[in-house]
Amino acid sequence: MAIPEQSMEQGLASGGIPFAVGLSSIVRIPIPGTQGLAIELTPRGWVPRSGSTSVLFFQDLSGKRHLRLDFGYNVASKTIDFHWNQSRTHATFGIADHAPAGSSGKAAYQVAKYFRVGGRVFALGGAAIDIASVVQASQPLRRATVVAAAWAAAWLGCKATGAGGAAAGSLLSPLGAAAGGFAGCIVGGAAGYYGASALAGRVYAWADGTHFSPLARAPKP
Amino acid sequence: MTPSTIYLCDRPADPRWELGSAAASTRRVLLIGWSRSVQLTEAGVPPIVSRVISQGLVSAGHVAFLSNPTGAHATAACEYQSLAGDSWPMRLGQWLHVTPRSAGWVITRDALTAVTLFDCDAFDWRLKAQVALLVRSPMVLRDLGWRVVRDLLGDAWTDAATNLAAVGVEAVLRPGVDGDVAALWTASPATEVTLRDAMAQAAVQFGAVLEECSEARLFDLMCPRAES
Repeated sequence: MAIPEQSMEQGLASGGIPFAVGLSSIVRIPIPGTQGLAIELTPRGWVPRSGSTSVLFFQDLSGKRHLRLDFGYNVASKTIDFHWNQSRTHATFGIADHAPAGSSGKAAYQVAKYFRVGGRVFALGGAAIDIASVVQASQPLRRATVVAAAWAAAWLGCKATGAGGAAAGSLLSPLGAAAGGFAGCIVGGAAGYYGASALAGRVYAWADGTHFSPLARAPKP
Repeated sequence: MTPSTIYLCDRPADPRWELGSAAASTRRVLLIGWSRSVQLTEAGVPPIVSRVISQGLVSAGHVAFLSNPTGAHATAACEYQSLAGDSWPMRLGQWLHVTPRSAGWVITRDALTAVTLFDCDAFDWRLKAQVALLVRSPMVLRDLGWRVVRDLLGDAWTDAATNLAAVGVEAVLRPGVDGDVAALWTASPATEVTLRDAMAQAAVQFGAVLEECSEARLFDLMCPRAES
């Protein structure tokens, strides 16, 4: 009697959930129909420690076209508030530079601020768990193949589903696009991760022609 | 009041400008602001203002600002001096991509090249990641590495600028809050007068108005207003 393939993975920890959650803080999540804008938690260029306090960016690859959520002194309202700064995206989002972001902007800013760091910790933690599982596996090459396929598919799933979520959310507002994009990215990333894990394990076993020996039945104590 | 009025304000002290030690310093710092019309929806420095400032700077000496070699600044009108990591944390930062690997000073006396300092994607003025120096000679920049850049963009930037005066840096221009104001430090009263005159001439050339104003008034003047 052969051991089911899935049982080969049993006992090995999987970093799928933290990796998929954390991936959304790293990946550029495209927003369809915006001529190359994508959702990110960091700017494209370098920023010094005392530089901008913006945490949520809708920007193109160069960063020259961007809408960003910021907190600080607003020269337009003459107060310290949560506001938008934008460059060359007014036609896309209809938001002027220094437009107040309101209470929803405040909530989004807080979430983005902590998720920017926390998400990376999650992604690194998930990756570390997966790497440890490769080391612990009885067939490290097989496990490494599964993990690599899972990571690649999670990345693709995050981008594709995140883009769908961002497109749906952008019908409401930029914050809707961000919420849809991140939610879609997490769901797509997890689906990609686990889907590719299962598929890669089967493909590896098929390609390798692995034979499984039945376990000896142990008498009940 | 026109949308292209540029305001000069001596010794800004209010922390809302986000100019670090300039606020508490008695050093020679000039705050440059501009009126914002309600039609002004874009972040950063308006084109006329950026032309006046860059024209004023290049007419007083060599201007150096941060960029990368793949930027759009590699024109015949400029030199490029790479910015080396000058300490092991900086080199580690470059290796980890925390600090850009390829960065340097674009050095020019051409106003059309200098104006791009306000729109450089690798070192975005609007993100407070850009700094420009007025130097006697481009040779000065050979010794200015990442530590200097970080100091000039940090809170104690006027102290850092003062230290650079001895090696031939005559003025430092850096952004304030959201890139909506510019702070200009000058090493000597003579340089300040030269730059004020140069910007006044450039303002006339480009159809802008240069006005002195108090810091308190600048807060009001920078609020969006309808164009008259």
